[in-house]
Parts: sequence; C-alpha cells; structure tokens
Amino acid sequence: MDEFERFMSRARAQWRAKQKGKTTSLWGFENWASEGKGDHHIAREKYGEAIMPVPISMHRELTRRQMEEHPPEGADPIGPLERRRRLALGLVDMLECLADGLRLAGEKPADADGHGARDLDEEFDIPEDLAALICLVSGRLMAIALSRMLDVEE
Amino acid sequence: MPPADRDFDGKPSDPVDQLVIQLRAYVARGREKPKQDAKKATATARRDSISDPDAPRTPPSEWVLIFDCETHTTPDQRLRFGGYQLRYKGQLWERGAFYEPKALEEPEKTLLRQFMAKEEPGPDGERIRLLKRSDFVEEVFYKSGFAVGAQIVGFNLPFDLSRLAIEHESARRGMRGGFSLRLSEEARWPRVAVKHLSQRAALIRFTGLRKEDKAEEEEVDPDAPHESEEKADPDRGYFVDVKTLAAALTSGSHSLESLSELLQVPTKKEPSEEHGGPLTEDYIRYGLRDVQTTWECFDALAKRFATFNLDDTGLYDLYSEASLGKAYLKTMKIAPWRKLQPDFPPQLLGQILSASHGELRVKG
Repeated sequence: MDEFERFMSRARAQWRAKQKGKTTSLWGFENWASEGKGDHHIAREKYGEAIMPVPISMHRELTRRQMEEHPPEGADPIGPLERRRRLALGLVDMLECLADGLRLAGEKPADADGHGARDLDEEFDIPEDLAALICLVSGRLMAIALSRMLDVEE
Repeated sequence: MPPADRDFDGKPSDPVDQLVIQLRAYVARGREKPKQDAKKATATARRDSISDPDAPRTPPSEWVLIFDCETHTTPDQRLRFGGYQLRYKGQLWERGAFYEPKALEEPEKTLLRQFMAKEEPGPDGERIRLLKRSDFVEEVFYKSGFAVGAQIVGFNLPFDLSRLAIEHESARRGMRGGFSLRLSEEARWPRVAVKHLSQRAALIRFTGLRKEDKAEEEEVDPDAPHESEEKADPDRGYFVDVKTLAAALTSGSHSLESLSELLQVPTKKEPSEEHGGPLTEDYIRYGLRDVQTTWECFDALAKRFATFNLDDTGLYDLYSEASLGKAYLKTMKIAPWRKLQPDFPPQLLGQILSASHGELRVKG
C-alpha cells in the first residue's frame, strides 16, 4: 500500500467513525482518560507474542491498520523474517500515534496564542496518558536496541 | 355541454359561460394506526427523528470528486471516455481519465494511453491514472468518493451519472418517477437514484442496499415514511450539480461555457467541434479541461455561498433560489409554521389555500 492508498484508507476509517458520531481523530485521544486499556499485540498475535497495554481507541486503530494497511504476507508467513517485519510495522504505527498525539498537544497552545492567550496553562501539558505511553514505547524500543532483537518476549 | 341560459322574471339573462375551473385541494395526513409491535414502534420513532427538518445532517468530508463524461453523438450517447479529479481540502490528490473499452477502437485506446502516460503532475504532485469505466466506478467513485463522504460534483450531473450506469430501472418510493442507476457489478455498493425536479434541478442520492428477497420486502413497515419525507442521512451521499448550484446562486440558467465566463474562472470552457469524431489528443485535452473548469466554477460558487454564512446548509442542499430562502429561515431558527401550530384545522387550511388561489386568479 503506497502513501496515497494509506491516506485514502485512513480517510475511509475517519468517515466511518464520523458517521458513528466519533468526529475527532482516528486515535480517539479525547477518550483515552476514560475508556480504559486493552492489550495490543504489536505485530498481531499470529506474528508474535509481544503485547503492550494501550488505550482502547488506539488499540482499535492499530488493529485496523494491521488488517487494512499492512502488506500481504511474504513467502513464509510464520518465519522469522515475517515476524520481524510485522513487529517493525506495528511499532511504526505506534510511533505514528505518538507523533500525532504530540502534534495535537503542540497545536493547542498555538491555537490559544492565536486567540490572544499568553500564559502557559495546565491544559497545554502533554496529556498524562500520552506521556505514559511514550515512556512505555520508548522502554520497549530501548529493550529492542539493547537486545539487538526485534521480536523480544514480553 | 348543455346550454345554461336562464330566465329571471321572464327576462332572458346574458348567456353564462360554463368553464372548467381548477380547485386546489389540501389533503391532510390520516390518523396513524396504533403500532402493534415493537418493530413498528421503532420504525415510527425513526421516522419522527428523520423527518425533523431541523435535525443536523452530518456534513460531508473535505474530499471532492469532480468528473465529466464525453460520449458518442449517436442517440444512445454512450460513454467514450471521461476525466476526473479527486481533491482534498481543495488540493489535487489524483486526476485522470477513464474509458469504456467497448466504445473505443483499439487505436483510440492506444492514443488515450499514450496521452495519459505523457501527463505530468502539477504543483500538488498528484497521482495520474487511466482506468477502465468499471475500475473508475469501483476504485474512485465508490472507494474514494462514497466511502470517504466526498462531495460528488459535475456539470449536469444526472447525464454524467447515467453515462456510468450499466443498468437502470424505475426508482421506487420517494424517488418514484426517477431512475435507479446501477453503476457497479459489486452488490456492496448502492445504486444512485436520480429524479428530476425541474429543467435545472434533480434529486440525486445513493439508494439503500436492495432487499431483493420478497420475504424481507414484506417486512417493510407499511406505515414507514415516504422516502421523500426522509432526511437524507450520510449514506445518501453529497451530490452537487454545478448547473443547479449556479442557477440557485445566480438566478440564471447556464451552460458551463457561460458560467465560466460569468465567474471569470482561470480555465474557461473551450468549444470543441470534435464530438463524435475520432479520438484525438485535442479532444482528450478538451475533456480533461472541462473537469478543471467544472472544479473552478464549483470552487467559485462555494466561496460565494460561504459568504452567506448559512452554516447549516450544504451546497448539496440547494436546488433553487427557494432553497436559499429556506436556508436563511433555518439559520435564523425560524421554525415552520405547521411545526409550531400542528393543531391548526386542516379544513380551514384547505379553505385558505383555495381562497389564495382565487385571489391570484383575480389579480392575474
């Protein structure tokens, strides 16, 4: 799936969410504090056991990307190459989520600035849930870097 | 007709002409039968909710699909090729051409392929594609239009939609009197229903997916609202005929050429003498240029409409100047009189309407 098709796939997902009354981002950041967490298989369960607890909305979008956007399986679907590839793709999706969350947090003060605000308010802090997830993903990436292996055990 | 002259007091009166007169009738809706089960009660609740003209409709996404078809000049006016643009927030994301394989000779297909292969992306870096009609319908019209909530735009859109159709039949229910067009072989995509309201306007919407099974058909609530009463939900799509939009906003009937002149868009419509002739590079260029002109006209009209601040009304809601009036009333939160005074005697309403008709006749 190229960049264009990925964008269209997300536009379709966004529209489906909008029709159901969920009109914000695909990651559902505004629901994170209240909706609880679910264990997400980073690479999909069939490609690896590594899991990470993530907000339910994020879990939904990560799963959609795995199903809709990730490439078809290679020659050996259960081989180590496929497992490593899927883990990497899963981590990419998580990092994209974190990037989108940070971008949103960065846009808030800019919007307020445009409306005349000059002081840094509490509402401009990076949300606690997002910060916690950044730490979690960073820790996982550090573990991967240290072990020099992508499919680390949970 | 028998003579109608009568004598009054033995004196003959002036002859009286017996003329056919017209009456205006007002038909009140009958009393609703009590619902027998929960399913029907649910249908009623749904009807009440969707019949509310003040209920907000989900606005379309920021995608716009513009397309135009070039046809044979034979009576069937069969599709030869067409052009399209897919835009996000006004930015060109994809553009291209599509063709009907059976309607083009092999050298014409080759020419079209060569022409499109030479096309270069513009400053937006858009993707350029050449597709068969069926692929255009599947991948662009439905997956990049319908499935992302795009506004689907064309000039004289009913004609272009009918050129894409592979099958048609009479539309049903609220769209009765119009056509139901099948564009795709895939059952998962809805048909498009088109019903002309006037020379300048047509109702266009995606239909629901068909229940072909008769048993299911029988389960349809007979008291369910007439489709014309239903508020078009997001699944009905957002079709904008630039011809209709222009008529509503400029109070005039326009061709694409006259509209592009009126709005002074950068890419004005150019005439072509090549309709029906062999496919040439100039004619392909002409077809693709029409799409750009249509987009520029749509964009100019959308900007003009935006200055009215009628935020509760979409371009797809405009069918005539009267639609604008209604949009203003809606924005001013002026509720329809019948909604505020639902118990007004229908007999009296009928008499008032008849009197109004008579008054107009006298004045006329």
